[in-house]
Amino acid sequence: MNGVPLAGFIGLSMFMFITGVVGVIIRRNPIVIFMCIELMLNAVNLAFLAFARYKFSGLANVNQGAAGQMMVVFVMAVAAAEVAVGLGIIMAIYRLKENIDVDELNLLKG
Amino acid sequence: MIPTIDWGVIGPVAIVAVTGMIALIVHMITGNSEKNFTQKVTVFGLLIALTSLLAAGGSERFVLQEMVVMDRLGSVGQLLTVFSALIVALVSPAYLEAKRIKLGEFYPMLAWATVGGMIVCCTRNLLVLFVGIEILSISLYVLAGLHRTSKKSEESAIKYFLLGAFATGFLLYGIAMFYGATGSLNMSTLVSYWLHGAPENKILLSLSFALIAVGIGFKCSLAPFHQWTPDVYEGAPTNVVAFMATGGKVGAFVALWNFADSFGHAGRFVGMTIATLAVLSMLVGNVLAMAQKNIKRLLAYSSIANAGYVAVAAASVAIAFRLNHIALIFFLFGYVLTSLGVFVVVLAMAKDGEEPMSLDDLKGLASRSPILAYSLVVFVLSLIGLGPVSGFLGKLFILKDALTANLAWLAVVMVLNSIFGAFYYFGMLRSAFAPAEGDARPISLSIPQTFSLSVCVVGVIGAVVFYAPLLAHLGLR
Repeated sequence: MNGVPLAGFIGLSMFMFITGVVGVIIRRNPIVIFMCIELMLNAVNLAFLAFARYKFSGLANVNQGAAGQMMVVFVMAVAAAEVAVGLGIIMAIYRLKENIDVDELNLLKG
Repeated sequence: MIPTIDWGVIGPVAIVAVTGMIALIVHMITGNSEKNFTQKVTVFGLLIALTSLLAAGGSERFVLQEMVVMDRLGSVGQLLTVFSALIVALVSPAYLEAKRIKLGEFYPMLAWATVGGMIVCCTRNLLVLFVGIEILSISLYVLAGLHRTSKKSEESAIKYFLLGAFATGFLLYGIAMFYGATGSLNMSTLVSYWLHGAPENKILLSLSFALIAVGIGFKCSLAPFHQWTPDVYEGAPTNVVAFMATGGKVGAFVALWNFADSFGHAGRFVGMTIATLAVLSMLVGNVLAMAQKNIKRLLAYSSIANAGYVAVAAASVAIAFRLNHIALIFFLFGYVLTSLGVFVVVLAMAKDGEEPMSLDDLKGLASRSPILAYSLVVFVLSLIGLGPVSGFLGKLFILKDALTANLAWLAVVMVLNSIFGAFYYFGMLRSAFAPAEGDARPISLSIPQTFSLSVCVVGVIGAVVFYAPLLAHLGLR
């Protein structure tokens, strides 16, 4: 772990985040869009953990390190709640329309 | 050592959360009974929470390692969130009956959305802010899709959900960058790092500001992050929209203001960025609203314009260090009471599975129900900001703040926008006082509807009389 510098982790995290953002913009299937959003959240988790491990480790700033690690736990919990609601909504749409392509969702405009 | 906790500070939040749980259990036991116990339990719980908030007053207190900061703005925000949930819970049974949405789960979800809004109001910690925003949003995603057999309702739910989760990603990445620069999740650490931190920290903080602004801007529906608002408002059930536009927005507005305030005396750049968003929102909201024929879309653009006015207050506080939050408090009072009133009028017109969709459906309101029509006059005057009603007071204080912060150009833009706003708001009145077309049956109001309407009307008209004692009770500086 000591062989990889902090910049490596943050670089990977930014790459994952941008991949997620691009995916959300170009994909048309809500489930794939949702996977891309999860990728963004995982990029966030990686960034938090890398900062906590490299910048705020050690006994001197144990509170600072713990703050980042706790945040990751909360992000994972909230992401799980979001999945439950999101898949529920997608199911409801599928039952109504038998089609979940976001381009077909065009009733609301003006 | 276990620290002693002042439970009184987080008591109201806990009361509303428990109310939601009890309401859900009651709903499982009684089902969709005629007596509607679920709604009664929810209303009762919200009333207790409202009373305890009023009894607690608004002195500044920090609890749970400063994760909860209860200041005056926080208690006013919580008060308004609970109040709007209460009014929505009161007028919902008639609407859900009229639209034939037989889901009592509405009330527990409403209570939990209120919990989220209350949490956002009383914190300056980004972890708690994130959890609060998510509790609020996830409940609202479910509520937007409440009308399971309506394609429009489901479409609004999925649009809101996908865009909301996307914005949450930005907010979170911003928080991660903030943490990387400061090693803390508390907004109050920001100033010293912004002014004296290492250069790489400043880059991280700038990035963090941009990303968090996207996240909070989405929740406030500031332009250019506003696209979801008209679609969701049009598709979602109107009683849900009534809460989304009032209680759901208060938390986001308070968070925006707190975030801008936390830059302290280093906020020039931040203030100018927020001012740009404010100008965009006011223009987008007011210009696009003029072209609207659909009432709910019109109200959506109106709420975008109002978010712009709040952003003016936030920009002023970021630039002029240590401005008072009295302007925002007055504006929020006016905004919540007025918007709730308009939605109560629209909700009362729903009948036999139909509800007013276009401005033409408002025609004949004056003859069908003079009470609704004249209440609408009061609310429209307040939305425009005419006369000594609450909408006028809020805008006046915000303008004063903008001038204190040397943002005269922003104040001018805001005044011009208020004048633009008059056009489409008067359009609503013109329809309401036109002769009836088609259905001309009189509209009868139930007791809860009359009560809610009169509370909003009295609050809007009596702004000058009521607010000063109320704010004094809450301990305003």
